[in-house]
Amino acid sequence: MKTLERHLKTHSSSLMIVALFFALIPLFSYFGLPYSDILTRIFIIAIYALSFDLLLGYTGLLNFGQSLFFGMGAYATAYTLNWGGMSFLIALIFSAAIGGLLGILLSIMVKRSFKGIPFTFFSLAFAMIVLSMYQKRLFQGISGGEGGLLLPVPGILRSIWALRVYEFGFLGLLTLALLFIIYRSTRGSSLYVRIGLMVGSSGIAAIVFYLVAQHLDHLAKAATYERLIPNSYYLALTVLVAVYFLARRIVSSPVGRVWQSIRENETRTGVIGYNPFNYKLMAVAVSGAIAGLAGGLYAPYLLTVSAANVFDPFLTIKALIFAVLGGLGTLKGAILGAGIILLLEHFLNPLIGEWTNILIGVLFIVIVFTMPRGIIGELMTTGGKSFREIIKEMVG
Amino acid sequence: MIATLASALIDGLALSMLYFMIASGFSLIFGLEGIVNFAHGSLFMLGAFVSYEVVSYTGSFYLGLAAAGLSMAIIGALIESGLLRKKFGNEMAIIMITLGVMYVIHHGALIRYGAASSTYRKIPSYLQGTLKPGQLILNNYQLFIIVLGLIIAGAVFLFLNRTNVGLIVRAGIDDVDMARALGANTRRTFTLVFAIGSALAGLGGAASVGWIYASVDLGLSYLFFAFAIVVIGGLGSFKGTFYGSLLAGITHELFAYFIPFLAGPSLFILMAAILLFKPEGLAGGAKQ
Amino acid sequence: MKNQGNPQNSISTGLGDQNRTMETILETQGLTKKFGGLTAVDQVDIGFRRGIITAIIGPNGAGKTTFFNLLSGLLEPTGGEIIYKGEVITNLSPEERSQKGIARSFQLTQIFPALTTLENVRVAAQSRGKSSTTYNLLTNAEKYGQFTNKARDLLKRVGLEEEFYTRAGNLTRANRRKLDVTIAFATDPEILLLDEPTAGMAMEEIPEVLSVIENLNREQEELAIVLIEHNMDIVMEISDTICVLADGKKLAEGTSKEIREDERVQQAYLGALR
Ligand SMILES: Nc1ncnc2c1ncn2[C@@H]1O[C@H](COP(=O)(O)OP(=O)(O)OP(=O)(O)O)[C@@H](O)[C@H]1O
Ligand SMILES: [Mg+2]
Repeated sequence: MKTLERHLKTHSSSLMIVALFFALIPLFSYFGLPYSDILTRIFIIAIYALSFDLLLGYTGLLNFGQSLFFGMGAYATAYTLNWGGMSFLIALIFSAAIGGLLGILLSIMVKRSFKGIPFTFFSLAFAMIVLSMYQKRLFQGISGGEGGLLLPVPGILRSIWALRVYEFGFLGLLTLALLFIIYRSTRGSSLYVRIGLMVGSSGIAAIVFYLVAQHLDHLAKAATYERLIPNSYYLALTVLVAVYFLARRIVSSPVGRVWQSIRENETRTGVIGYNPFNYKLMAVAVSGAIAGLAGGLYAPYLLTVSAANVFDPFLTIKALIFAVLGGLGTLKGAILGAGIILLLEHFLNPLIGEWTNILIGVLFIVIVFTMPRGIIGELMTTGGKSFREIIKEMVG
Repeated sequence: MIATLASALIDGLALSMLYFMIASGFSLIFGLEGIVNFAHGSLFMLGAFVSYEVVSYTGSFYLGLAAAGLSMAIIGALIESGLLRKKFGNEMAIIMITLGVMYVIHHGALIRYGAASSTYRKIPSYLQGTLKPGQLILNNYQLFIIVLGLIIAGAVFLFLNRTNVGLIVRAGIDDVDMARALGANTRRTFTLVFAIGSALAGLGGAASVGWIYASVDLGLSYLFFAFAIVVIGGLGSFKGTFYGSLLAGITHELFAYFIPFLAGPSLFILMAAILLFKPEGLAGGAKQ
Repeated sequence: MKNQGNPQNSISTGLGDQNRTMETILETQGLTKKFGGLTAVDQVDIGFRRGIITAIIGPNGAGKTTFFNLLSGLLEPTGGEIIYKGEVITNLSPEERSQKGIARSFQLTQIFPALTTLENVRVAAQSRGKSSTTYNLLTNAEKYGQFTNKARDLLKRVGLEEEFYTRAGNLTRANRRKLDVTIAFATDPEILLLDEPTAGMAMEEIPEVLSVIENLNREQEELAIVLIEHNMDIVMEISDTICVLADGKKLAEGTSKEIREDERVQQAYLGALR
């Protein structure tokens, strides 16, 4: 059973449990619209924060124009839904594609100053060039002007069937993943234990499914308005989990490893035979695509897309604090950071209004002095020991 | 036509000087200390409001200017010595701290002044009218901003080239270790330069009120302007910042008078051109 | 041909070993680098041959590191050419030169501080993968076991097996230098440029590093090794050919005996040292 312990300590299982938790809470009756609303927002912004961490935390590139990718992703979805009348999933693909393409374009433009502070300057400059167009009257046709572009709620977010697909698909996937983890981690223990554990957990899953189905029938009789939200709630949660696992895979891939060596020492990375430009371009493009995807998800959540609400410069600044608060280069940190700050805002805003933001500003500074490696970073390294060393000791 | 062109040029020069006042401090601080001060625009905005308050209270325009410059110098020195110094050399930490300060100032100002803009009319009468040499009509206040900007540019230039501290600053921009080798008290120099840069931002903000207005949004806008001008002029180059400001300000006003719809994005069009064709900036980039 | 006779013998000079190919792999013609008014490398013509260890010596500021920076593509020469295996590579980027087989270590160690020691070397080994590997975004890098194994082997050879999972930035100075050299080994070079690989090491650690270099020389007959070294005892012991740089110019070239007896060298370098 040692291996099971280890697996539970590693992140996939704990993340699974967290995801399961969020998959189930909307089913509780006291969990009303306001909560699923803020959580949906958190999930979407967390995807965006993740894209930011992927670039800054792993490649060491601080893109101060990251909100450009997000905003253009949102506009891309608005365009596809409005003009093409196409499905939401295709719109999301366009959103990710436009983010990735803009990332490539940015990389090519900054080729000669592709590191450190100069990149930060130029990425902001690049973003401002596009943003300034979207803010102008001249381009009202494409930007929707002050009022923004109104977009239809995609069918997939309206239908009850879709809701079921999300819920069951999501729960089903999680169950399969859990079964797989149990199967893998109990390797070596007796066959009966393994079968017992797997049958047991399938049984629990079945009961959960049954309860969910009951509950849904019950909900179906309630107001249809509420249906809209859980649909986008589940969609955002699913995408967040998928993007997280994808990002984790990417950062441990050969390319992800080269990103980290570029972050650590770009000169040496070149001298051992990697073309740093190609890898940085990939980093900016992948990060841009994920940010674009987040923007695409955000569009129907907002209902109207305007330059003011998707190109918010404070969104980039916040992404930075999410990632740094949670711990740069940890991926989970960005999600955690987004959750903490956005919940803080959500609960404090009605109480103390603008003072919330002052509190957040102070928090920026306090974190730098007290937790320079962020929450996850501080948890992972204690007393100079690496997380890996601790695990090694624990496992024996 | 000539008259319009002259007005455009005067307005352009005045705008250039505002740009210069925000960007020169930003550029000096970046050049010497490698610090990107995200709170720099907020100091401009705060300077505008300080002068607004002082002028509203005392009625003295010049007192407002002085108060804005002085208070921002003090705030800048406090930020540098109280917060940034401990994290010197840690780029990420510095960025986070200046962003935090920016956040606090921005939202603090929102609480105090709201999103609306405020302005005053209590500028001395001789700054209010217009000069009419021949057919031209020139606004006195814009002329005043130009004179103020040129005086400041001259003073900073003399400071950099004629004083010991200036020598250290220039050496430090090339190489901080070299400045240390000159036996410089780099710490005190850093604080001094940060204070001077902040004072320039405050003065710029104060001078802008009589022409434009004071509003919380100025902070972010002028931070972006400073970014853009430093990109256009060349990172870390003082001369480049001056030329960049001139180019940006005059282009903006020429567009505003003759091709209005391009005025807003003009700064960014310039920036795009620089990025594509001369990424080291107008001055050739003293430091990359 | 490996380990012919008593391996102890080959420690002195490899010149007696007639079986070595001796083909020139890398040469420079009139290579020059100016920094403003200072000519750091001045019209240097040198050839490096496969299978032997060439030492470059010279006083501080002689231009040795600058010369390596030119060879590895980190600096652009002001004039002259660099020819590698008959091909002019003067305008290639560092990564292109690395892929052709030129590897180097650094006088000021250049490692990846926040990564583990093992990962430092693994990522260097990974650079020799096919482009479908090195540009793969979706497979865990650990799946390519050959790179991890190679990194482990190399680290064991330099005595860093205890440090696999240590953050490279936390290694001792001597170990960081060993790691820097190992990173260079890991790219399967045909010519290995080592910039003062023993600098900053304690006396007792030096033989260990030297024996690694000598073993490499013995095992890989095609490998050319170029070594910048200040310690004359080491130079005399390990190298087959010595090249002396002073004020950016090549002063002399020859066996250790010839160099010791060369008057100009004594004046310019040895005299100043002793
Ligand atoms: N990037 C540079 N810019 C300006 N001058 C440089 C640069 N790099 C080296 N130099 C100068 O070129 C000369 C040669 O330096 P180099 O580092 O090549 O010497 P070296 O032989 O390696 O010395 P050492 O034995 O101290 O390592 C020195 O005078 C040095 O100051
Ligand atoms: Mg050297």
